[in-house]
Amino acid sequence: MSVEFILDGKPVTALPGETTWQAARRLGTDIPHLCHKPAPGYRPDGNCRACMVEVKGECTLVASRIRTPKPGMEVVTASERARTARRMVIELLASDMPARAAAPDPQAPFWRWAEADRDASPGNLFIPFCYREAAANLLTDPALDPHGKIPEFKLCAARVTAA
Amino acid sequence: MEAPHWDTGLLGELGQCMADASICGLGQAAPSAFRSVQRHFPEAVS
Repeated sequence: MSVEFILDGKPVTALPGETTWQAARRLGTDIPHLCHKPAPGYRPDGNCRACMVEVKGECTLVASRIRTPKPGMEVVTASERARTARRMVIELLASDMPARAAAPDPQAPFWRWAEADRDASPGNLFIPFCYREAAANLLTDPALDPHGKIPEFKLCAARVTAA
Repeated sequence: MEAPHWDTGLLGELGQCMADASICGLGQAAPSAFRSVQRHFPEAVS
């Protein structure tokens, strides 16, 4: 059965069997996720805590990947509280890992979330430049700080087209 | 926490995240120790 609920202030409908996370993703809000991916062996368990969202009336945040919406439930993904928790969860996980270049799998989906900047303002585009081999440095100015070997922060106009 | 001066901003975010995002009550309550020091004895760590 479909369920009507509120997502970031807008009334939306979850399809039968959809979790909050699935409905949000279908409607264009991509919430971080680590315990699950659409591949065998990655059943969503809600234990990575990367997908936390606020539900009105509940005292702690909830794992959107496993929470099924109830009629009228008010879900907030974009609040400062939810964003801070998701960012902190990823930061805590990253603090237990080697740097990306030395990690066992530098291409792991984890890095997409660890390096993503989801706070770019409308009309702006951000791509990571923190690592020497990041696309921003290959595409534009590859200059490194002579002492710290840190790539420089740079700005340029960009156009996005479908691949 | 062994530092003479605590990073109150970062500890605040960590405490809030643990209380908000932990799976069970043990994790939710784990930051209570340092949060109560910050609340009741801020002069001891600032």
